[in-house]
Amino acid sequence: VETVRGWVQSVVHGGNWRFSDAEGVAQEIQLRLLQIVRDDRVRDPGGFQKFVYSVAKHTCVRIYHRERRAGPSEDPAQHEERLRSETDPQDDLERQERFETMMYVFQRLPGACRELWGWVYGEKLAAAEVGEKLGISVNNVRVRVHRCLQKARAIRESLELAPGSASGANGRFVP
Amino acid sequence: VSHGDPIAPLIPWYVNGTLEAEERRRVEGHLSGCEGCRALLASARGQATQAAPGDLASMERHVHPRLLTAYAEEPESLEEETARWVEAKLEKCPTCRAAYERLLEVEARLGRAPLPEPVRRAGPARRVWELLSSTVLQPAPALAYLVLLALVVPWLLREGEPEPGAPPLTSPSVMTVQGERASRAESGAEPVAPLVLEQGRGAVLLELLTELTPEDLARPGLDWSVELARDGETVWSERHEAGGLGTREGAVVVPVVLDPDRLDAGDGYDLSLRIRRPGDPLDGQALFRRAIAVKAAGSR
Repeated sequence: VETVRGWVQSVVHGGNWRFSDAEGVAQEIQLRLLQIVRDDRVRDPGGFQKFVYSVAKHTCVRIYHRERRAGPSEDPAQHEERLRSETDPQDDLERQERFETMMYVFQRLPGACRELWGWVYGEKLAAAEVGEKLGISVNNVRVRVHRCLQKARAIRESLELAPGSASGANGRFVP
Repeated sequence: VSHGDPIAPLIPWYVNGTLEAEERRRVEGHLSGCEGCRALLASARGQATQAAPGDLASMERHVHPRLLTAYAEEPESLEEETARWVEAKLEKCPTCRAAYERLLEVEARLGRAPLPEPVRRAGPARRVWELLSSTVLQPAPALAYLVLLALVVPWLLREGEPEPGAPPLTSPSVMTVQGERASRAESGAEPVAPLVLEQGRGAVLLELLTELTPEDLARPGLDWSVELARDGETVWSERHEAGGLGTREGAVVVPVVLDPDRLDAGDGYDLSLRIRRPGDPLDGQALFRRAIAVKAAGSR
C-alpha cells in the first residue's frame, strides 16, 4: 500500500497541476485503484506499476480540467443547464459517466464515422439522404454505418475491459 | 454479428426511425432471436443519446483524459488518425495542451525518456530529424551537412542585428474609456495592476497606444491579433490588418472594444497583443500582455 501510495504521489506531485487539494486527489486515485483491485480487474500483475501510473495520470487530467472550470466533457452553459434540470446526484453521476464513455468512443472513431454519427443519430437522416450527400448507394451507406457501429461497439468493449477505465462488474465507468 | 447478417446494417436506421414499415417489422422480428443484433441495438441507442449538435460539439471540446494519457504515454499505440486529431486539438485547445504538458512533466519526473516536443508525430521537423539521424554517419551526406553547417552557423550567430524594418518589441500604454470616465495606464517591464472594467456601464474602448510607427508595420503580410484569455484559454480574439490601424502622434493605435457584461465578474483575464506574420520569428509572439479584472456592477 505504501508503495502504491508513493507511485500515486509521484504522479500527483510530478506535474505542475496546482490542485487545490493535492492530498484529496491522491486519495481519490487510491480509492479508484482499490475498487479496481477489489473487482479483480488487474489483468497484468507484471505491469501493475504502469497501470497505477496510467490511472493516476488520467484521473489527474480529469480533476485538472474540473478545477479549471472548463470541464473535459461539458461546456459551462450545458453544465449549468444540467444542474438546473437535475437534482438527483446519482442520476447526474450516471449521466456524466455515460456521456464520458460516449465521448471516449466518439474520439476514438475515424472522422468519417463521427460525421455519420451526427447525420444518422443527430439529424436522423434516412440512408438515401446520407447516400445523396456522399454520392454512394443506399446499400453502401448502410454497410458503412454498420461498420462504424461495430467499431464503436468494439471501442466501448475495450474501454469496459480496460483496467482503470470501467467496471465490468457493475457497468460503471471508473476513469 | 457477421457481415452476412442482412438485418444488422438496418439497426442504426431502426434507431433513427427512418426505416420503411416492412423493414422495421423485419428488424423487430429478428431482434428477439439474435443476441448480437440486440447488442448492436444497445450500442446504436447509446450513440443516439449523444447526437444533438451540442452533444457532438461537447464531445469534441477537450481530449478525453484517458486518450490524452495514452497519447502522452505512447502515441504510437493510437491509430494514425486519432493521433492526428489529438495533435490538432493540442494546437487549438490551451486547456488540453496545459494538461498534456503536465503529463509530460510527470513522464519526465517518473524517469522515462523525456518527450522532446508536445506534438511529435509525423510533423515535417520530425521527418527531417529522422532523415538526418539515419544519414549523418554516411560519408557523402556527412560532408554535405558539414558544409551546410559552416554556412548556417555564422548566419545564426548574427545575434543582435535587427532585421531591417522589423518592428521593435513594445509595451503600449492603454487608454480606457468607459461611460464618461477615461483613464490612461502606462505599461512597462514591471508588473502593473490589472485594468478594472466595471459591468453595467456599457462597452469599454481600450486604445493600445503602441510605440510603433506605420513604417514598422509596412512590411507585407504583417497583421496583429488582440486576444483575451482566461486561465490560458482564449475566449475572444480579433485580427487587424496593419493597413487598417490608425495612428496618433505618429504612433500606431490598436483599438479594442470589450463588453464587460459578457465577461464573468470576479474572473481575471489577460489581454495580449500578438504579431502575426507567417514565417517571421516573431509570428504569434505576445508583444504586450495586460491583466484585466472584471467588477460586478455596483460592487466596491
